[in-house]
Amino acid sequence: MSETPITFPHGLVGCETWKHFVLVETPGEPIQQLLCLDAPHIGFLITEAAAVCPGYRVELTEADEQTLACGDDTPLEVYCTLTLHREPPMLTANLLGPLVINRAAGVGKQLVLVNSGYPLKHPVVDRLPERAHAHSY
Amino acid sequence: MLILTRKVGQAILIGPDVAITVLNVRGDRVKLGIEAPAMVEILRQELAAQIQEANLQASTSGQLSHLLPALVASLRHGRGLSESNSHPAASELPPR
Repeated sequence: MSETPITFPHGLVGCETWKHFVLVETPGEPIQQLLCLDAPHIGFLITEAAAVCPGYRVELTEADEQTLACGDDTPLEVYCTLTLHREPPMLTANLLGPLVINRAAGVGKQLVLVNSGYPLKHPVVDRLPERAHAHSY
Repeated sequence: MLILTRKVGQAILIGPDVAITVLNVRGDRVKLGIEAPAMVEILRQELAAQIQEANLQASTSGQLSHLLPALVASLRHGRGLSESNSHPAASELPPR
């Protein structure tokens, strides 16, 4: 299990005080945890967005690139948060507001994909997330 | 809240870099033109609210993570999921 600190300089959308996180990963596991250090008991289950939505793409604005401290060749990872619904038991992925992470720089940003058509609650039912190795953005 | 009345074609300035112009008013719809530096993020408020709500909902599900293995198992089992070849065990699950 590895732990990687990731800072979201602007926090998350609507949760601006949640800035400091730790990405907890277990090798081979398709789902990672993103634990918030700024608020007790706040954490997310996340997975690589392309794993639950093949061909998933995000477009970065100039502001995004600056926040993420990235250039043209910077590898970025695109994750989505997962929501576990108890009744009926199901898992949905937020593809409208993905989390983009520059692992090398330890920074991340939550995007809002205006006009993308990606859903807020994409059901993860007929395909469990696989650990994707190709990152697209 | 600062309240200003503007006519079509008139603008307001916010700080040195942002200008918002009323372009058109038709019934209860107002068309606005926004000029701002690329670094300034502009979002429809209701979209931001949706993402916020989703974040809050997803964050609580982190506490349910102990339910995850069972959920994943039931999804696989109940739906007869064909996991990729990298998980041989999954292919041994009975098809539905």
